[in-house]
Amino acid sequence: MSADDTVRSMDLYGVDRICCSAPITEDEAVPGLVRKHNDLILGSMRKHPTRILGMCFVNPGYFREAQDEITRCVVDNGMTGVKLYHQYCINEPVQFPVIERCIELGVPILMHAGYPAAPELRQQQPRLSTGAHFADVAKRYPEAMLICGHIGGGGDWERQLKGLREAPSVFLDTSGSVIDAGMIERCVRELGIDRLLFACDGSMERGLGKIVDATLTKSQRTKLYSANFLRILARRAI
Amino acid sequence: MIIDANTWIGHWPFRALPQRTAKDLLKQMDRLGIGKALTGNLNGLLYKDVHESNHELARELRRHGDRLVPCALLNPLYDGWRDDLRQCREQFGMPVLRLTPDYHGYALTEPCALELIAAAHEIGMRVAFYWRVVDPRGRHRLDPGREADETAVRYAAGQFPNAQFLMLNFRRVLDKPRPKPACLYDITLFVGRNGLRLTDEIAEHGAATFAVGTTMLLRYGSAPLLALEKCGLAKRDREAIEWRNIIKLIPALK
Repeated sequence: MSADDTVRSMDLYGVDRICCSAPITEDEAVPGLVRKHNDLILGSMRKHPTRILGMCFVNPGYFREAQDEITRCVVDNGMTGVKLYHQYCINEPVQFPVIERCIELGVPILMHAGYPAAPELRQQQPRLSTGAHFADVAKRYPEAMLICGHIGGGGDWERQLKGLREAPSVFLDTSGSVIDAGMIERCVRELGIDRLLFACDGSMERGLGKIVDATLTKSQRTKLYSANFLRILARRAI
Repeated sequence: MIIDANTWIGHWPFRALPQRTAKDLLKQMDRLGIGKALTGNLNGLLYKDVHESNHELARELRRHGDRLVPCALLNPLYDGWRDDLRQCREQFGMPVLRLTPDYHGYALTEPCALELIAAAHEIGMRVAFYWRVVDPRGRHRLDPGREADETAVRYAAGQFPNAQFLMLNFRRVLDKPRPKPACLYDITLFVGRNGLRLTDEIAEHGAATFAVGTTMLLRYGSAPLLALEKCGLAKRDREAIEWRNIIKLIPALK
């Protein structure tokens, strides 16, 4: 989707600001391509500076380039945080320098995550991070602001919640095309409202609809829609 | 008025549903401004004798017939289905037969499926095909449900050139074999692209191709309604999707 279409959707659905990233999901995430993807987001931020926040995608396997890209996008050009995809699990040592850098900068890491129920689907993304992976790395870096992506991204979301219960410092975003009845109430019950972040992941009607439908108090909705993420933004150290 | 073409009540054995009853469904419908709904019984997906679920559904909806219209489930591999089908139509007043072949162990290309469809049409029932009941990425290992073989759906529908079908939980409009208005698609899965996709689908296929559907009580219900609201359709087209199209297909909903 273009930046203009995204802002059009935001206007339609009443979303004020949105975090966008452009991860490489299929091709090899080589540094030149990573830069091009991040340039797309930087362009969108420049075009809609009051609406679009950027998340800097990096491939931690390219250690030096990943650090340089964080400097370029987050430090020099105001991106909000870092986006990681399934090139590696969140708890693999290759991620540690990125996590340590984000701790130093006081910015969050949003990680693509899920637990596809079928073995053949898991084989398609062998390094997809599960709740248990987050729990593992959160023990090493409890001060990191890790965000487990899209609870409704497709997979056994109940299992994800069980894993994330063991990682009290990890946030969870509520996006994804799966909108199983009761999902949001279960997220609140298992993790607590303070760890949940509103998100759409390309489907505003589903992202918003599941929150509208969930049985939540006004205070819980406020935290979910914005207050929790604003707390994250306030920890920025640069 | 809004009519929901795709709702369920009952027990889903692979995940704890927060709400399961007709009363629960009506509460959700009231909240979303939905006046009437076509409703099936999830229990019938896994019962050996599927028809017992039709008895249950008829009993559960008896007091709510003004708003919840029951849909039959049957297995054409199970003895006695012809009598059961007749009972669904004549005694229980079910105007729709839902087919879920993965759960009942047959394929839409098999003669038994075609016999069931033909028998339903003969007694004035509409047949509903499912593309899927739940998202297979989160499927329990014992859940036999899969995404439908679209070739098989096309084949089965193609055997009945004068019939009209209800297409539930499809993700896209099938290009063949029928003129589009002959198949009415519920909009449950015609969402995405940040809330802009449904607008494009309606522009491409026409308002006559779609009907409101939510897949409650398996899913939250607001998303397709939000998407429809944001389409900015002319009143005539919006009403067509909200209720006119489904009433035309299933007059019992009047």
